[in-house]
Amino acid sequence: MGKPAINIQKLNYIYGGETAFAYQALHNINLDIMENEITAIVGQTGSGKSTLMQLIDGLLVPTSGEISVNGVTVTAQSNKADFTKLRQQIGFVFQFPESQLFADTVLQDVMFGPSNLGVSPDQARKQAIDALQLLKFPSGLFDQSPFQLSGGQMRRVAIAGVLAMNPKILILDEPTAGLDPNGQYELMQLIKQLHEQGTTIIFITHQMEQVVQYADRVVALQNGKIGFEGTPRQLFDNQDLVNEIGLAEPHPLNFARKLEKQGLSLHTPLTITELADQIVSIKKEKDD
Amino acid sequence: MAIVDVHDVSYTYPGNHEATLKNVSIAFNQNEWTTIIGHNGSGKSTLARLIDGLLPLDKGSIVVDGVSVNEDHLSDIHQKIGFVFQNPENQFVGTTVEDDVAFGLENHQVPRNEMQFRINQALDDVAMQSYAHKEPGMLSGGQKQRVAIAGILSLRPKILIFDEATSMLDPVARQTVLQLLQRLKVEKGFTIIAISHDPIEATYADNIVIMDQGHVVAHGRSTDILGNYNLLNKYQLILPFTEQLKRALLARGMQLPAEYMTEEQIIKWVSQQLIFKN
Repeated sequence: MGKPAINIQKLNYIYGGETAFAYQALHNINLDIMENEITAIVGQTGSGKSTLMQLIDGLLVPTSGEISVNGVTVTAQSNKADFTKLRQQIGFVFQFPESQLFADTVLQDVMFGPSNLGVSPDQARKQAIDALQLLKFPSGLFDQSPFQLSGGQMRRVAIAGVLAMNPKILILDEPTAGLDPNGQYELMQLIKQLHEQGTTIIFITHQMEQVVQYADRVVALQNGKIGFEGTPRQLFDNQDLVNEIGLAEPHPLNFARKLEKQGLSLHTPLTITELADQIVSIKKEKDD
Repeated sequence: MAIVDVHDVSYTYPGNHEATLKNVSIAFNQNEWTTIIGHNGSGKSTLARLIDGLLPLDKGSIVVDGVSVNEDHLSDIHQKIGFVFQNPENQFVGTTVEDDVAFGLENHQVPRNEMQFRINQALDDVAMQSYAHKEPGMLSGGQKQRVAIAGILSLRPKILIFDEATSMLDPVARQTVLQLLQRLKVEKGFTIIAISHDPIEATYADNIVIMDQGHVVAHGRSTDILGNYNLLNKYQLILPFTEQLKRALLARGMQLPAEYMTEEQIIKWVSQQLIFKN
């Protein structure tokens, strides 16, 4: 295991602090996100996932506690410059990022991020083209208005805009929501590729199949607290905890639970391959 | 019996060279659930919008419950069809759940004394009665979509069109909404037309239509289409979970019945194979 890319200590966050509507979204979070790993963040709507990610990206000021990213630390007392520095460590892909496209052409939109970081126009252009090519975005559309693209293409342009800044850490908030199955697969493959190239990845998801397939570690939030932290297998081995946190089980495991009710015993199959292997081996034992 | 009849319809979006729909003819049966599947750009949403009169017909004709879809009959068509969109966030106007449902009724000039009854009934149908006085913004995605559905049910349509209406929901909320729709179809006799690329959603349908590049390329009973590996594979559609498992078991030398099986059927079949001696 590598060293932590992100270290969070005793983090609390309260929305609407001094008002009658004050609401504590995060309670005493202690968490390490490891370098060069893919971490999945799961939990029910309102469990604090997005709040935690926005704090890590320096978009919200902690009520108390501290967050360190690549040696940059922020607390409730930090000034604006510290938060800006924190933000520069991370690429953040929001939910439905295509709603933030604004420029006249695809290329201009993607160049905006690196230009803002102060690189030369030529360099910004190069980084933008590299990012678009990484996303297999057709070069014939570089000079088109982003608003004339299909939904899936717009999503890729928006993600390219973040990748063009060459972030070491990439956070994605439900990156595949609303994409068709092939679009989802392609995007997850891209995330895997970025990880192989050395990017630390954090993604929020509701799809447990994605957790099983892509994540090294999973952090489950429950009512603003960490309900679980570990490998996907450790999580799904604990059926009571999965239910308590309010997560769905991956489909193969859910199917296995139904077989168990019929009197068969299986060993937490997380994928179709594992499920089929286990069924066939029970059959062999029975036939012998 | 067909309640929606689409005859030789083509459609080209203004400014486009290529037609999005090409000579589509298709009939949707009354009291049945038909799911249209296909990739982005296959024309499935365009077809749904033409049926509801949200886009003007270029060529061909569509008849909904005996009424031709054209500019003169739009209010009639909208009375017959309830259309639920992908993102419930964009559909709220009221400050409470109840007000939101009332909005549609006011627009349709439903008398005041009848409104409360219809609102209660619609919220009850979607199991959201206890949220009547809550603010829509405070609800979860699944609850919002159920309120959006209640708003439509209160208008008493005969046909419900769902345009990827569950794609934004988490898996648990999605199951709840799909089970709700299935119950409403049976209890209230709705005809459902759903647009989806979710293989789980497809398993709820009575019929499936596959669209590809503006054409209807397959239309049949769900069990026939979902069990047809070659067909789904040809159009690069995702197999339902049960079919993926069946193929994995076949590949490992197990012998399974050739026809499509629901999850319950496979569980029964597998446990019989593994527990009881033949």
